[in-house]
Amino acid sequence: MHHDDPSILTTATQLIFTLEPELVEIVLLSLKVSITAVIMATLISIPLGTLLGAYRFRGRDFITGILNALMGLPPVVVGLALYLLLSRTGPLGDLELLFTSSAMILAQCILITPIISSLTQQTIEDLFNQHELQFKALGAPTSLTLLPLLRDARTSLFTAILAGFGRASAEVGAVLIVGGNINHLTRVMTTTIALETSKGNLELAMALGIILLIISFTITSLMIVVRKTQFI
Amino acid sequence: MQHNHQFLPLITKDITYEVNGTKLINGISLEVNAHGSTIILGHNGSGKSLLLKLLHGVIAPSSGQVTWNNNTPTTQQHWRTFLLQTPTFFKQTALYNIEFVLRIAGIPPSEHKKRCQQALEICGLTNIGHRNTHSLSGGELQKLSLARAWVLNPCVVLLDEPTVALDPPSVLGFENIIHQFKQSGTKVIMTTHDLAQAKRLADEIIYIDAGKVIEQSSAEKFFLGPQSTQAKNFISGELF
Repeated sequence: MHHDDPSILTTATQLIFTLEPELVEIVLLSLKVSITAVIMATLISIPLGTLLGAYRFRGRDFITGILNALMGLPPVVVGLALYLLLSRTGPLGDLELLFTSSAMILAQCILITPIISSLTQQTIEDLFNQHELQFKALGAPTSLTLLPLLRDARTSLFTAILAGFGRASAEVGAVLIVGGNINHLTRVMTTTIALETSKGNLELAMALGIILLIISFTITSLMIVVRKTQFI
Repeated sequence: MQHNHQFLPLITKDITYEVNGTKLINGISLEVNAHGSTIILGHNGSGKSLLLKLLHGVIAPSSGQVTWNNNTPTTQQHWRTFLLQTPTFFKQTALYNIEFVLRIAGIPPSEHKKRCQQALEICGLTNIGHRNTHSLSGGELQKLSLARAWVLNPCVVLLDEPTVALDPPSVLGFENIIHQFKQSGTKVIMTTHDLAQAKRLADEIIYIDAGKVIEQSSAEKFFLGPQSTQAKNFISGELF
């Protein structure tokens, strides 16, 4: 089939501006999945990264090494491992999560937790080292310094969370495996783009691609603005 | 305020501090009593700051012993405060930073406001209590460091070359606050390489060189007739 590029772009733009129901449904589900995954990952990562950044204990380097290694996790491998865990015969099969949006949230959460944790650890560790002698001089126990340090680090932590959201919303491999790309149920932007492109339905794929790009640019711009103005 | 004599004398017995086989503090034995202010004088690199950290318990000696009225120092003792040469602060208001030390010391929250206001007032910082520390000048930050010490009403305050980066008016303002510490009965132990400052503030001088105590005497005696060649050269301003 031959497509005239300008008409694809025009149709894609029309789909966006007319708020075509299928497109809106996919975008909303994508946002719901990624935002939930980011909230879950943040709740795990901020405390974990803070503890690793501020405390020295046996096994700390080992955990840090694992987290750093997990930052580069291949998404399809995470998808496959999660698939095996959640499949009917797997250890978590009774939960019946496979091919649901919950499984996709879990997959994205697993992928971005190491990223947010490592960035949090680095930020808190740098700040802690900067204040370490002062804390000793004041006789301040580490536990009492954590909240003020987190407050001081809020801009960097917000940037780390945004980076996690960017990674989650762009994810395709793992969510395709555990979500199954089921229409009206687990079809998100990235998996729809893959499917519609293979079917030759480039208009919808292009429209979703544009929205993904807008989200990506918005996140990047927000990171720059937060860094420059420190408005939070 | 608790009384100085409860925690003094400060005694060190043959303390050394060694890094990679080099003795940076080399067998220092001294006794510091409750009376007046003690200035630790010496060149850059003579070991003044290191000695102060050993006295406060921020670092432990490689050998020898430091005792405050027969007790080994720990940094959790809030009757004694230590001002670093380059203090650090949270990027929050000046008031928050002062209140933080009250929380560490376990002072009841009902006393916080009164104590903070008094500390800001004594240190001439009343107008900057609600300003963020990143907007304060170097002089204001050093005063804030003093306010953070004052708020604990300490019996002993140790200061590590606190005025080294300040201009003359700021130094004067800072020294006025140190005089107030002295008047309130706080024992001041401070390092400096500034002779004029030592003359202005000291009741007692400990002169150290290459990690050793060369002389310890009253300020008057030290400046009128130093016993050692090193101290004589230091006072006369000779470069060597």
